Amino acid sequence: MIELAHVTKKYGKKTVLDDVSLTLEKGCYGLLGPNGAGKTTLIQSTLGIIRINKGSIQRKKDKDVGYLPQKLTFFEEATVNEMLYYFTTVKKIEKKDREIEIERVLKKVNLLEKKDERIKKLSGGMKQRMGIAQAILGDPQLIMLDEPTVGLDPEERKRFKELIVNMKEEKTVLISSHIVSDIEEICDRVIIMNQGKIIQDRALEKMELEKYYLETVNNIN
Amino acid sequence: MKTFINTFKLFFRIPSLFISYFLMLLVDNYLMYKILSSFIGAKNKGMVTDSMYFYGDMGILCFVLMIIPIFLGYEFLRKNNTNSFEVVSKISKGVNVIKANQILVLLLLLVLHVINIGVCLLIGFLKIGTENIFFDEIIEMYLCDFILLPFAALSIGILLSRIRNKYIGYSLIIFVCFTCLSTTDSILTDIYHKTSIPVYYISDFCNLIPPDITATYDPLYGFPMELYRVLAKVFWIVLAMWTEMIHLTKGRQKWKQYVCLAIGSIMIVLLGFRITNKGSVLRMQSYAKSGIVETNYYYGAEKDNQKEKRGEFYITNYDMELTFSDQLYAKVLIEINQHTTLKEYNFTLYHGYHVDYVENVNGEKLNFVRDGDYLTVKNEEGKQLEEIIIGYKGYSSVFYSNKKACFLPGLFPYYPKAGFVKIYEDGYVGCENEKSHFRIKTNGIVPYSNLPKEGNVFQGDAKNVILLSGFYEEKNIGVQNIVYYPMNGLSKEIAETMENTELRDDYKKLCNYLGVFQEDVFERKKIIIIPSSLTFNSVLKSFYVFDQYILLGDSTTAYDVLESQVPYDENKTYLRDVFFYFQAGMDVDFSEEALYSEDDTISDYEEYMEIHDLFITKAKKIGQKEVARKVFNYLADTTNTEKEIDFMRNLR
Repeated sequence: MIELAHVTKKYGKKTVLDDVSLTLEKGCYGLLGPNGAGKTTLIQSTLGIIRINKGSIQRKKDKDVGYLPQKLTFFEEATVNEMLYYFTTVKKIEKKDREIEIERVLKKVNLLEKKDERIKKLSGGMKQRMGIAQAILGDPQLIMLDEPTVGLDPEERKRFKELIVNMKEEKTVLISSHIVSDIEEICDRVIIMNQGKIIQDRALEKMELEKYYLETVNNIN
Repeated sequence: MKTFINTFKLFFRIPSLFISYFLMLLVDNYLMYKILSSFIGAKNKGMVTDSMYFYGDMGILCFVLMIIPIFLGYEFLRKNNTNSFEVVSKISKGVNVIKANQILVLLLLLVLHVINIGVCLLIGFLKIGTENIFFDEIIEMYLCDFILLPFAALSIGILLSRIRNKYIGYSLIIFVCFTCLSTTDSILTDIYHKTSIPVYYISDFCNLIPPDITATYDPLYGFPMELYRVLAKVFWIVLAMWTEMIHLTKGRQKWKQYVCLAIGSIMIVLLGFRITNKGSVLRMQSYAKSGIVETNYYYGAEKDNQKEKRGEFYITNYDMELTFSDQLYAKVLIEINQHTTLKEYNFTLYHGYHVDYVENVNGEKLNFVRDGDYLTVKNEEGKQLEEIIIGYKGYSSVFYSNKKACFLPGLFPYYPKAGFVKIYEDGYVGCENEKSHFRIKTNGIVPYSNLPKEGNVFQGDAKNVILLSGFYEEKNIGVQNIVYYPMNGLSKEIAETMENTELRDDYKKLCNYLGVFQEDVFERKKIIIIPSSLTFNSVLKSFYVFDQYILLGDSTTAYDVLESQVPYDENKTYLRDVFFYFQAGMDVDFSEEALYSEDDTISDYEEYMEIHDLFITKAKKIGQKEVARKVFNYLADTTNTEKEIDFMRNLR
């Protein structure tokens, strides 16, 4: 479980997160909001990448986290396997488990046959899948994905959704996206942010989300 | 290990990286081969000093050794910084081991290259022999310029890799490399002279490659292996390590961050202080504080910095303790002989020496005023003052004095001289004084001197005291005592043939020609042979005769010896110049000499030109030997006050 209480983050005079309180338990959460709403800052604050000015964040042990940043680049000259091996090292996965773990995640994102391919030869969608693969390396309990479906084709997107649906029973998954349909199909709960504040945090009522989201954001703007 | 191997493979898969690395290997090995061939060649010809010129080639080698590691560090590490490894490792509360592996790969590759150069030097040693006078210097050079340099350069690359914008990153790399070049010094010097902002310090930090000593070569000093050059490299290594540590401790406990910040800051400040306060070093070229530039700027300034006021006292005795460390530290006890007690005692002491205190023998502080090259000790109460103790430290950028070497000629006021005296006269240093008794104790080095030596104490009567240390040797040839620099063939030859030198024969011939009594200026005097170097040539004449010793340049001619015998008279300078320009009229074909008066391009026919023309026409008319003899007698006669132009016009 993750608990954020009255979290405030400022960059100079600009308040990016304004007294945000949030509780995340097992399940899939969708984080929606226009550009500059504070979605990425919220994720990075939760993960401890950036320091908050006020409030508190409580989460489980540090190692148990998977994160897909919005912009993730790789050593283009490394192979898929080598690159993921780097991530297993950084994530402190035990040496003996590393190869098995790499195979497991590559299977999940359907990249096993590309294992020895150099990254520069992969398509944009494949690279995004590699990003997802690194996020789920080590089978973390908390997974935070920032715009995970960008660059994925419909088939890949479908596979990604299946992957998340399979995981959400046992893990906490937070997906930040501006694509409402992605969230609508896989998330149980939606958090809508605007100007650093959470303006809605509620269980998802299917088919209504897009309309509801647009109305909410339009009303504020 | 697998991570390391993967990273190693990765390096060699990136064309820009491995091509640069192999290029560095290729170029450096070629230059090393060239340098060693030159060393061995020079050694075989018996001109070991000349091999020092090839240090210039090392500048190119070191430039390659700097620019490529900067590039490798920047390019390789920048890829890591954009790869979110740092973010992921921070989330996992771990270390960015990938970056550590990348740095290790780069270190390994540089170590291999350093070993490569070491092997080349070893071959060189085997060829030229470890007995070589340069052995220690080459070892120091290897440590400073070949080992530390690439690691310092790599550190700069690692530091700059934090800048994600490629254009800014490369602009900074170009800036750093440009600042390392000696050509930047002249730009920084100009800015300093125009704004008085000491921007030249920038180049101190970027002074990574060896200075070009071929232009301002001083064989007595050896290679410019000075602490500040080592520290400039250590500075970048520490700065890079510190930056990485800060990133490593980011998001951790605050105390760890503060400790890291504090330790790093202290080290960087201390290093920065030491680099910018480098003490006495031999730094040449266009650097603002280099010998020639500083001297020209200070003494050539519009404001007249020099004074002249004869002291109303004599210094009978000097008791000095000189410590040679990063600079000169001096404690000088002066005994004064005076008719009446004075309210002010004037001394001349080069402005590069900072006076810390002045006191009497009872340890009571005396007030003093320091004004450029001058020191006035106040005795407001008018007490009987027979002894004054002066404590000072500092250096001259021309006349170096450190633990490595010193060149402190007696004409230069590195110790207080009585009265206000002009240090530079007519462009040459020349600060003479009356005979005194000296007792000088030296610490740090034991130099050569004109005074008799016992251990590290020099004692005797003299008008001035010269202190020399570096690549010198002292030997006795008959009754003649000679200090010379043995690495140079010419100096050695002079030292070995002093009894029957060509210079003596030429001087004898010249004296006969001029019909003057030939005084053996060399007899029973210590001879100190000074080498030709740009700095020395610009501030010292090539021949001096003092009461106890002779300063002899290795390119001194009989005319220089003769010139030293002619007293300087500021009313006879034009004729003096013309006389020595025509080499006393000996062996000159005056029929081929052009006259200024016949030159249509000259609009202002000045006095110097007229004297020049008169010398030629009179030589043609009454004979050049006759003219030379008469002019010499006129110049040597201090009682003859006739104007030089009138003398030449009336010459029959």
